[in-house]
Amino acid sequence: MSAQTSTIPVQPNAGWVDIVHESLHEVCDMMLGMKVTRSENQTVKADVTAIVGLAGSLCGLFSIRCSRATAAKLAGKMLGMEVGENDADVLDALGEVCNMVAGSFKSKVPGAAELCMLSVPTTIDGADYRIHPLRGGTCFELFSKCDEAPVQILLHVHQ
Amino acid sequence: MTPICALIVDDSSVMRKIVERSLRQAGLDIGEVMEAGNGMEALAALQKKKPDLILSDINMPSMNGLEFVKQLQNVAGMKDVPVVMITTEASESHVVEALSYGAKGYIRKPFTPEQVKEHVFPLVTKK
Repeated sequence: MSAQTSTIPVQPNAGWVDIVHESLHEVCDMMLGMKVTRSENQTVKADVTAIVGLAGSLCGLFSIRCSRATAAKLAGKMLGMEVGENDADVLDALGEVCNMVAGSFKSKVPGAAELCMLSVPTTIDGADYRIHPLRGGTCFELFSKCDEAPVQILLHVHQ
Repeated sequence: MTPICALIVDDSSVMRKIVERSLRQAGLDIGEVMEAGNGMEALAALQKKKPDLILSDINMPSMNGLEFVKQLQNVAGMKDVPVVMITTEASESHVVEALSYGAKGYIRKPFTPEQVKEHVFPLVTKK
């Protein structure tokens, strides 16, 4: 992953949670045919995680966490067929959802569209881990439901 | 008209399946579908068969989509094969770079089958 070096860092603001929600809505509507709503419940069973790195004017991590059942549901919607929880496509699909939501997000943030690069997605199978962002960073958190299936999106921004 | 042979280049097997399905939903008569996980694999696949259409992601390991379309210019007999980029990286600089290397179209993920039809149909029906 490379990015231009002479970039002015984009300053995070609280409105980014709404942009993340809008981006998730866009991806779920266009690619999965699913309706996205904000969730009152601020917990998610995080069996699987997809992560996309951000570098350039906006540095950090964009991640989506959900249960394996939710990930299988997302994969099934994407592919238009039943997908089992242990199917190889489950993690791949979650990685692509994360990639598209991150891409949609950065295209909506002034200063990030041109000067922020995305990594290829990485997926984590399992819940026993912690992300330790660098000091001075900001974390935005969004809990949503995709057709009632809960997902959590975390955006860690390094400053 | 004979069915179209398409080469789909994406590091995600799920996305390759979605692109293939979108081509069919767009009403294209798709015959054989060749698949590659990155630009290197795509160049190797082209040694075996010439497709009628190439759809390529940009962000891929080993060789990304921009490098792939750049190198494609040096592959004999491929100049008339239309290439359409399908990617989350839809910044203006990427679009300009891809078009300068010979790509004929650009579709941003997420996309709908209608968008695929709009960008791809004119390229393959023109032949």
